[in-house]
Amino acid sequence: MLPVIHFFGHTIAMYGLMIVLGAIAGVLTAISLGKRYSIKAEDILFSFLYGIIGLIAGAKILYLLIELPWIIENFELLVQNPDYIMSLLTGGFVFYGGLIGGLLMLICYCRKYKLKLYDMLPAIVPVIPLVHAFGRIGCFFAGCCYGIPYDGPFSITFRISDYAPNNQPLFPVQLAESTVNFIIFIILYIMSRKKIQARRILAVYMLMYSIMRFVLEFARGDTARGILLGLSTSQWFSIGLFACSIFLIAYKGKIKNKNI
Amino acid sequence: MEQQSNGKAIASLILGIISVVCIFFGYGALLGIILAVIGLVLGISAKKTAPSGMATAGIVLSIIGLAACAIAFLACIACVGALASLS
Repeated sequence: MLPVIHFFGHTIAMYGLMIVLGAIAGVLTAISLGKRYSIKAEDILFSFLYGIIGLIAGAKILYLLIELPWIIENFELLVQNPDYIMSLLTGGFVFYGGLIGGLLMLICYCRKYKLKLYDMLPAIVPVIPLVHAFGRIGCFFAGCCYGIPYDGPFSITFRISDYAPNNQPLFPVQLAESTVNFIIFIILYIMSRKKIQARRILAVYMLMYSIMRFVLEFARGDTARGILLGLSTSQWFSIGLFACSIFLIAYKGKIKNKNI
Repeated sequence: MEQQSNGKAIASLILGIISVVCIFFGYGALLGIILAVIGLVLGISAKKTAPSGMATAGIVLSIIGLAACAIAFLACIACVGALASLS
């Protein structure tokens, strides 16, 4: 749609720009939520940065794991052509890998600096769908993560995309996921402002996102989906995330006296 | 402990500066991201143990380096993609 913009002679990728804008919006929102829980802005910022580091690393590692069969098959080609290696390193991030990596780094930060993870979660969890929503708008601009061929209302046609098939009407799956992510963010933001337990906020996020992702995966048209038994890798992760959210909700009776 | 923290702050500042410079070297942005991440971790550690202006500067420069390199690095995808579509 609009993969790059030119600014004073410099080429800026819209995907990267949207990710950075999402991160800025996310950290500002997290700091404002953190005030309600008396968490220092510094701790929110630093834990967020740790989360971003985990997100980048986790999303890339999971992508490389999904692409591992292709990498092994074409190992000689990769060695001969460094451009393909750079292409593998730069292109492709899997959200679920990023989610796991980000949460692990958040846990690392809390342990290292002796903070309670459950105190941080109400400020951090609502911004995950916010950053993700910006990222999906970036996907839309770049033309990656595109939808299946579709000729109905709201269909979109890419003209200058390096990833999506050009001049063919497609389902706007990136914008659909972005819209749902914004709705999830609003719900979680309200929950967090009302000081609802961190466990519930996390459970609601996992529940809503896993259902949305599982359904929207059927509308994805890009081929790198890592299909296993008819379902994509992200759908398998969605099933796992859904099960975890049910566990979090069902387990409340036994931990109701704790601050989670 | 404070001397060690000062060393981390200096390292963070240097890594932050290098990561910002890496923006202008195409694929060097990948190196910039790695250096900015290390700079951030060291800067945060230094700031937590013994807060100083140098640690803050290191963190700020590392954040700028990380953000700018992310944009520049992702711009490179489009270049590779364009080359692939031409071949």
